[in-house]
Amino acid sequence: MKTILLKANNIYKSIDSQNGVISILKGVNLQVHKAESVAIVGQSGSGKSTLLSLLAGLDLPQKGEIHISGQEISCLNEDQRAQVRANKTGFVFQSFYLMDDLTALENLALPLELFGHKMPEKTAKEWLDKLGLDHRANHFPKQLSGGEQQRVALGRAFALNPEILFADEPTANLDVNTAKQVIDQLFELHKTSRNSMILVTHDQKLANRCDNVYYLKNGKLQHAYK
Amino acid sequence: MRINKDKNLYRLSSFSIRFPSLIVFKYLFKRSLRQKSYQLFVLCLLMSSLIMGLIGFFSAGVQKSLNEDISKFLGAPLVVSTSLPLEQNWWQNKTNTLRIDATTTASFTYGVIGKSGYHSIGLKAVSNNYPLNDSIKLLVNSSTNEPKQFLVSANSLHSMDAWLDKRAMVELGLKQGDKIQVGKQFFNVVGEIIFEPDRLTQLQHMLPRVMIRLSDLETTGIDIKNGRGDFRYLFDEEPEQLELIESSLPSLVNQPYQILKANEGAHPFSRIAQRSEKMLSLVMVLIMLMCGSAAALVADFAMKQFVFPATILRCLGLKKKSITASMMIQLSLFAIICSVIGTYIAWLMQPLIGGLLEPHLVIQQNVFDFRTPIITLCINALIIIAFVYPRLKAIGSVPITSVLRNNLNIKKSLWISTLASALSVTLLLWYFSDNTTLTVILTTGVVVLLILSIGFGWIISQITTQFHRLSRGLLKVVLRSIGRNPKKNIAPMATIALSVMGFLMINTLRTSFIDSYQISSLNQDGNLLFSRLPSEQLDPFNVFISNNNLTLKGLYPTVSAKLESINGVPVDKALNQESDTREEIRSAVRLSWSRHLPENNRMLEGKWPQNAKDGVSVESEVMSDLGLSIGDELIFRINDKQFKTSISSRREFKSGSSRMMFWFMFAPNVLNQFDPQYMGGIHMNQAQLPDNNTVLSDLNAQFPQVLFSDLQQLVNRISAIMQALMNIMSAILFILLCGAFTVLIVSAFVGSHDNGHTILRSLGVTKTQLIKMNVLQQGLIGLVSCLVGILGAQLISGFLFEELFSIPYKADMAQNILITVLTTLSFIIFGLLMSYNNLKKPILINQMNHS
Repeated sequence: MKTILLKANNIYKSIDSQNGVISILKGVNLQVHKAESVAIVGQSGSGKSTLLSLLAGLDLPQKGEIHISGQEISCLNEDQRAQVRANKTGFVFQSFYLMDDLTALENLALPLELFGHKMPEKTAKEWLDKLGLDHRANHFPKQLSGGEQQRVALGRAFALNPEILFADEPTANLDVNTAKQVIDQLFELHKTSRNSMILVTHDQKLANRCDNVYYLKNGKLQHAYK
Repeated sequence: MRINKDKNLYRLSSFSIRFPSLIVFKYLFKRSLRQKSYQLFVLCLLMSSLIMGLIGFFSAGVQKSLNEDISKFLGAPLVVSTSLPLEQNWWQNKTNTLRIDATTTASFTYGVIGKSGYHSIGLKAVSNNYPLNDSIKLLVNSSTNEPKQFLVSANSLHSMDAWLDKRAMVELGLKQGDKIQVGKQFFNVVGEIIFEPDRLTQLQHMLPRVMIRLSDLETTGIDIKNGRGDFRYLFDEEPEQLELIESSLPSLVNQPYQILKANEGAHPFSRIAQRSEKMLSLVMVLIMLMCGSAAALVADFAMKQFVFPATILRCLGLKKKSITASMMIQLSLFAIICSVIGTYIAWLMQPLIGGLLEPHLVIQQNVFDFRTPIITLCINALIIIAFVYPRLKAIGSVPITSVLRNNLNIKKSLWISTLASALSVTLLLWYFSDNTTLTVILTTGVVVLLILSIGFGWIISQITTQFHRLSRGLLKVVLRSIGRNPKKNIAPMATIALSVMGFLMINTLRTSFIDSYQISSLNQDGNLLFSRLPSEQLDPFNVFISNNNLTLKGLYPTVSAKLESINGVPVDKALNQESDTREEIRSAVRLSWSRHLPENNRMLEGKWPQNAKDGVSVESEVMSDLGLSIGDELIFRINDKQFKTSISSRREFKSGSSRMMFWFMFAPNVLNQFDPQYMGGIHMNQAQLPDNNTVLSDLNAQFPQVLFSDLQQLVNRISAIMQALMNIMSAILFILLCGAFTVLIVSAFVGSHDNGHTILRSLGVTKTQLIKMNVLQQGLIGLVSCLVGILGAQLISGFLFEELFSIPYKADMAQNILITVLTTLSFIIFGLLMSYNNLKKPILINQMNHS
């Protein structure tokens, strides 16, 4: 039986808006096993990104529990959750969010430098080679294409070998061909590192490559298919 | 109804097709009002107007008050001085269109005869309406012989009467009711002058004073056309009238003349007024630079926020010119509104600022009319032209597709408009200062300042950030970030560097402003000078000093002597040319002696006399004026004896320290045969001030033959002006610091809007680590800014100070260290506040994606 790496029980989340309180998540439950890939799909505005933020510990639910590797993160404070993020998770954003003033190599090396890795630049270089971007090591994000930026972002997310990778619509800003390259790279890395992966996506093809697909509708998560 | 509605819509859409700019203007206006960055920019314009208005009003008010104070010392706001008399009522031209009146005074160094014999004095003949805007304090014996004090004008001085000051009374051995011979005429001594309003600016102010009516001058037989007189014509009219008089002078006066005003002419206070004007101009320029830096920072940020909406509008089919024009009209409106409101608030705050910062100075309130906000409006307009317009144009030139791909590489290409603004500021400065030299010096100084601050800032930040290669972890990230974001950091660094430079310069000016001559002479000579202390009273005098906790500041032996001949030729024949020195030498002079060359002297020729054979050391200017040389034989008459000596050395008296100066000095024991009198200074502690009058009365009572001069009173008048100036500078320092603080807040707002912190938090950086990073980053920026400022002050201030104020700039290490520590601490606190502001927001992907 596979180990459960992430467990979310009865998650509720609402936000305040000008028109009053809006309930986004109304009792979401999810379990993700080790080395499993999960896609969360749903219409725009259904709360997919919000759910991902909660699962990654970027925000806290109003109600419910979230456990990562047996540790409940929903009762931790900001700094404790930051440590969980540093040690156990990786995140890939829709808009890449590389640091403009760092080169590709430095962006990839950033988490390694921050968390005391012994040879950050060497490790980062190895990752760039793996991603086929060694020729772009000294280029700044503005000098990279969208796909190259996203691959650097992938490298950054994988650099510390996280147990779970969260990706929020990683191909939304990419063209079809580039998106395919990035997805191929993502799943290759997922396969080699044997970490769990939770994706939010509109892309059905991407969702179909995952082990499990869940559909978020009306604030509830439904298992769509395997 | 429906048809009408359709028609209206048709009309509206036709209208909008034909006049898209109005719709765009309305849309952009609404949008701008909601944008925080835009609000900040408008606030920046308002603050600039307020700060410049405050400085402008305060400086103008204080300068007016200062000029009025100085005018009191001069006797009038405009004084025309000649060495030869002008014809009566010369200022009333043939048509008398000027319709003004003037007061006339004529001053001479002249010899008079009293009961004690011949003595050189400062003779002053005055017209009836003297003094023009003050009063003479006069002590007059009543019918019961009790002296009473009166405030009078020369109208009370009758023909053939004279007023003397106390020194003249004592030197000439006269009292009220006696007669004094001035030239051919005898005058009745009818009053003792205690206070003469314009005495300090008269050349002969150190001599005893005799005052007579101008109409009596001719009767004395004094040669008033020998070119040694000081004829002054005092005018006190409305400023426009005074300007008219001044411009008419070349046609009215047919001989050389000098204009004396608060900030012009050879009098001790013109330098103060000029320095004040220059200092205020310098400060105004620094303030404008700071406002400009803050505006540049915010404009950059505000325009970046404008890129997307502008691009969307372009996608929809609007022309770039339309968008730019709409924004420029909007900003111009705000510039007008901000300059009016900011200037008006500054005008309202005048009494508050004046009362808080300078309660003892009566600051004249400036009038607010439609012209008042023009300067601030010009500055705001220049800010927009220099910093906003180029960015607007640059936004228009970025390809739409680049913007939509989030590639916001906006290149600022229009340096011309920035340069044009800088030139306009220079022209404004020239126009308002009316001083080309000052404008050139200030402009050069500012340009060099800017180059230094930006250049040094860049160099030092590059050097600092290279250290990132040697560091690890958080420090590495911070150092690299500083070096990789020059644009983000240069503006606040340059502004803080400029503020530090401005602070150091003004603080140095503050401490140097006090006239070193006056204050150091207080330190050297004390605040009460005495003379004619007989030798037998020396011991009781010392006892009195000790018992009353006074400090003796110098005790100089003197013997009164009259120079009889030079190289065997009687003085009257030997001195065939006339001068004030020659006039004074005809009366008794004080001979003195000392073992060593006095501290306030410098030997120019020969060596200090050690015995009688070494003769006498003579002051250099006296030697030149009397035509004396080393080796000349002098014969003095001391009491009834002749004393022969020869000149063995020439020395120079250094002003700026002790006032005690003796024309002729010998070795000790040379004049032992003569009974000396003593002169010197006493220092009374400021804390004793309430009791001073008692001490003075006791001194006068116990030592009636000793003459006391209250130097403190004299210096107090000058010090009052100095103090006012120092307080102005304190006020300006305060405003400068407020400006710097504003810039810090602005950069905080700008800096807190990047996603960097959010990305780091999503990567797992804790709050504590982020706080450390912010604090470290801001601390380094503060430290570097401060070092650049100190370095800039050291390099530039030397030049500026010499050219503008004729004083050296001395770096004060303790002050520099204090400034560095305080600035760095401020930035650290600021970093903490920034962190707090950033960290209280949750990390929401939605917000990040939409930001």
